[in-house]
Amino acid sequence: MKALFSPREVERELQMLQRELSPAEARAALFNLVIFSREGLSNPSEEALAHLLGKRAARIIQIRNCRDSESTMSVTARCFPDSENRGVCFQEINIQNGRDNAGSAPGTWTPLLLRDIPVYFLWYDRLDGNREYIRLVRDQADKFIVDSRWNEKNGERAESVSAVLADELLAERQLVSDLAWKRGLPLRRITASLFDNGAGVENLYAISAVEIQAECENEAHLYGLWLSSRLDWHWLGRTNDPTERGHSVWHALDRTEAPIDVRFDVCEGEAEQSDRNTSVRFVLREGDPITVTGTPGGCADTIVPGREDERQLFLNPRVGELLLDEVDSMRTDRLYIDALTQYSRRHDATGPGGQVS
Amino acid sequence: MKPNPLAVGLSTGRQAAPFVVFIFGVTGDLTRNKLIPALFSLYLKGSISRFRIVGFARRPWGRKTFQKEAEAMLSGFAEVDPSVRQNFLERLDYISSTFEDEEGYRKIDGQCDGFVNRLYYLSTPPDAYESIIDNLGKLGLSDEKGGYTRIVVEKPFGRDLATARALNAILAAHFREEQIFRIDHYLGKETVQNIMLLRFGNGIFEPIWNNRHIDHIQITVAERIGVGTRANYYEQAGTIRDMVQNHLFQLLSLTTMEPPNDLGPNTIRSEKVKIIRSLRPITHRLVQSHTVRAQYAGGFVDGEQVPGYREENGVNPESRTETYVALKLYLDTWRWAGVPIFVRSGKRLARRLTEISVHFKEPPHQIFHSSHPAMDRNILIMRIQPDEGLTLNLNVKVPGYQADMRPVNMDFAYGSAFGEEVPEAYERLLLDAFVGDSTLYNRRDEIEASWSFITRILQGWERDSTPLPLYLPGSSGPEESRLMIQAEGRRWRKL
Repeated sequence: MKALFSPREVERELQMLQRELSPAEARAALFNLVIFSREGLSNPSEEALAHLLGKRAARIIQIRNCRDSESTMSVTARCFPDSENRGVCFQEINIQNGRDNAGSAPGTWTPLLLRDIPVYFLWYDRLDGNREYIRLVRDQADKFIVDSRWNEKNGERAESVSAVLADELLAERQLVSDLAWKRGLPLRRITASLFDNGAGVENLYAISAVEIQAECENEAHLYGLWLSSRLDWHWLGRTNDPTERGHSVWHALDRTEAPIDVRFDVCEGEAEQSDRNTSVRFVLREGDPITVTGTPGGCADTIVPGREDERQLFLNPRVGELLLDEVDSMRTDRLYIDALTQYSRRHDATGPGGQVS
Repeated sequence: MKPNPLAVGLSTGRQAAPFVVFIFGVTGDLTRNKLIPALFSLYLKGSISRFRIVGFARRPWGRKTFQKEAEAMLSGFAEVDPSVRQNFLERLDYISSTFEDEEGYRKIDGQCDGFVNRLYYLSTPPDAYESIIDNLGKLGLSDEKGGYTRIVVEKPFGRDLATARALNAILAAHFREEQIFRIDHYLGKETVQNIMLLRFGNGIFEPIWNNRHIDHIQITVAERIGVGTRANYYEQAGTIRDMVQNHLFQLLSLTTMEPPNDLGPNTIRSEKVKIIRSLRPITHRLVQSHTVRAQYAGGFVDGEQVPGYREENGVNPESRTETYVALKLYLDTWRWAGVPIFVRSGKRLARRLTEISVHFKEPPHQIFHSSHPAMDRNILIMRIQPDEGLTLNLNVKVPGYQADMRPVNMDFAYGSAFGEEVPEAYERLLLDAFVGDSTLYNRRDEIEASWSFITRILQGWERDSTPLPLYLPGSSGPEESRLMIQAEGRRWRKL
């Protein structure tokens, strides 16, 4: 059987390409990034990589599942000179994994990983349909990076994504990051600021409903799980029909067993602008609600009863910025684990899907 | 007050609690070039979100004028959405007052607008410090009322031990030491902080970081430029006050301090001050053999004729202010006994360069033949600027049948390995002041210990009337400096 390629030849070709592009010597690669994607589904990795180019030297292995009968492979390099005119390069290996599955077989691409530097997986493929493959390759990764906003756009709902991450990765003590979680950080920070003085903290224990308008349901789900984990709610799961699109209602009980609804309604918008339409409304058992509403131009207006209305910075980080942050750290956000644990507790009790009647 | 459970673990970096910052001398260059851009950058990064910035200066500006001026200071952020910029600018206000007039200070409480945390930033010439500190104290504005009240004082922090002590006494009359943040922007540089990380974050260095393995240390802060438009200041200061007492001593203490038990501000600063206190005093008898001072002469730089120091605008033609200093230092500690530390700093030198080089001892018994006998010692070079990074100079075998060796460099470029700009020092330091982390600020005893050491040298120099040596612009410094290190059997690294 013919080998797809010889690792030695690949290395030689990469070195040659890099030398051509960066004659004044190139910086050593800081990490390996293995990107999994699928023909027919969007692949925003190029946008993310464009942000990293010139900032971090890396070896990038793209494994794209396609419909060709045979797998193929090509190599390329991109370099960007730094302030000393030395190349900050991506050494890129592009594998088209055909129906023979030779390209995605770990034996094909693992010899191409640079040793002794971190290996990050960036997963732009379905999670639920790939559990077996994830189990097969997860040991190769130092960190597994997903973007559940992408999963939602490609038909995977919050619960299904959370289930795979909790079962296959977090349960195995694998480092996991969800760019959607990270994207939600500005909103979580503003939310915390709504309750950041004595009286405000009391309001946290008077919440009866949280109404979220946002572009992405998976992010709203993570936001709800975050509130649940921080406020010691008991997360019960979805109460509406899971096939219903653009609207979700999750149910939780607070520490006094009082019911709380977390409602999500989609708001459509241009990709770059969508987060500016985000709004969250905290309905309290008594008194006026507390709200945060994104405004055009990267700010958010907050209304807290008894406090002067405020406008705060609410910038939407781009996918490249999020990825840059991820490849610089070998950590999983503790709050993210806590949030997913909320889900997995529920998931253990009810099975995947987690719908409550 | 009950803690907010939603705030726990949220910041990926550090975040400041709501505050109002009063910048005294807000119309000056420091605000324009550093403070406002740094505050805006912190705002964009989400490190500060609820705040007010109030300028305090003599000029008859109002809120709108200050906002307009500040907008021009943000010219480096052209890509930022105008509404984000506007949201920042709306938080700016202004008090027009002299630093002596109490009426101006009476407006301060009214500008706090419900914020309980306040920070006073003294960005004025040092002669205004006393009035400002006194007025703040007299009117009870240094008190902490339900939040923090802090004061940031820019360098120069005194010009000798007596003036530094006097300034500390004025501060101490109205502020507790925990409220006082004495800034040295050098400490805000990522690469300076990296010295400590390199030493204590890696297990391989500490066991050999002592007099059994290290022959000597060199610290160089060299500049290519002359005094330029700073002649008035420089005439009063000279290199020893401008660079050695603060920046160079920071590098020295970070390089030689004992490992701190933790990263607490007082733990680290206590270790640093121990180093300064253990410097063997350079008394007037030792000044000739342990110090060199000189002035740059006129000459050519990049093919262009440049004036000598005494010909510069604003410089006294008879000036004895030094533009170059070299010191031979010893630390009287168990770890560093017998290890000379050579430091030098000067203007109009061959290149702009800040580095620390640690020169290791030769192997006790050299069995290999060297092709570069003068370079047998391993050297670890910590480059602070430019090209921040590390170089370890190692000996390796020359290919061939002989067992010859030659030195090669193992190189790590800090900035460009990561391929992007590191944050401005002022960003880091301002955020530290807002969150109350004084690690990178100078403590009272640290300032006084360094002035105590430097004042002895200054007094020794005062007794010495011999003409100051000159050095050519673009050179490595005066011949006397070379002779000083050569007398110890070492030589300066090439600039």
